[in-house]
Amino acid sequence: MKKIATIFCMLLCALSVMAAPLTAQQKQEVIGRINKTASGLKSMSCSFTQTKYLSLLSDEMISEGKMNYKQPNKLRWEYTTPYQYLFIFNGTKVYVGNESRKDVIDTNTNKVFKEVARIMMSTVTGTALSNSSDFSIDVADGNTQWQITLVPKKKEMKKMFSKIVLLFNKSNLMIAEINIYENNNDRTNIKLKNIKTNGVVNETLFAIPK
Amino acid sequence: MKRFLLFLNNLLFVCAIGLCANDIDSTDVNNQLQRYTFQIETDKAFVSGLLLANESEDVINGSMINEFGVSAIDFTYSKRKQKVKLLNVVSFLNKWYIRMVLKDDLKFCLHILYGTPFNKKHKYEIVRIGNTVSIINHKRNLKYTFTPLNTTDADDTEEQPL
Repeated sequence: MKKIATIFCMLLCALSVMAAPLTAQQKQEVIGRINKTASGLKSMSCSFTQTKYLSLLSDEMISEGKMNYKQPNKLRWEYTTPYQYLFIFNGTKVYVGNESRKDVIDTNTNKVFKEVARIMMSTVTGTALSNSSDFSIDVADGNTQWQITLVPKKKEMKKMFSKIVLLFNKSNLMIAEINIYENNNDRTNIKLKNIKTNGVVNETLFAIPK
Repeated sequence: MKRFLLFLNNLLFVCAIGLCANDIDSTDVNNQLQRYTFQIETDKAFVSGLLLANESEDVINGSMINEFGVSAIDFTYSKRKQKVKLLNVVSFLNKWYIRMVLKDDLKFCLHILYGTPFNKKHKYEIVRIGNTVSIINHKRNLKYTFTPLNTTDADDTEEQPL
């Protein structure tokens, strides 16, 4: 009897951590609520921990950094440890730089970078959910978080990613985690921490360094 | 009911074994993981990221990823055959003529980084500044630069030798 009870408890635990399916109407409601929060997001600052799981090496690579976003299209994504790398998008230009080399790309002439910046911003803020041309979207109930699965529709993105899973806190509908699944079975997990929204974000953070 | 519970029990047991097997794999493979930052430069552009590689008795397995964590190249080098095999190459580099150059250049880079044999006569130029090494392929106007990455992970505090 004790064994049966133990198995039953284990099963209950397993079921409780599994994301529960929702009806189409419930999914739309959740997407609508997240979209509403995302569109009201004037600015966002946070730190993040990125863990890359490498299937070939059965190992992981952890890096950390800071992120700043300002509506409508400014993004600063900075890795601080164990390497330094800075990505800035200020609406018309993309800056990428490490310790030894820096590049500035005009997004009017290089649409790829504009697209990369747009997808980064829309994923981090949650507005990716309102653009159905990029992804097919599914929603699941994951206990304290909404689990949104984005499956790329575009050919170029499909070649790189099989899916992107976003976790939004139910309490404030803010993004907490991003999981990027690649076709080679690698996965990248980005956990956002110390999130501050709609605060003052210094404009100089988005200035292209000379 | 008893049969159902037995089935559940077996299922959980199988899952538990699966998890253990994964653990064994991951500890077994990690013989000697080395991490470098890398940069590949042409006249007009550059690609940067991280090279993560582990070396065992027979092979060197490596993944080249960009700073955001997106995989660019996965490769394996067989010490016995002295050959580089490209396992995954990001779509914009996945052209036969690029793969051909990459295979040759990677083989030489591994020769410099790991001391693997390279018996052909070569025309690469090697520049060492501190613990950074640059390998220049003048024929293709390509420059590969590798610098050991100092990680601060609790389980990986050793500085990786070049």
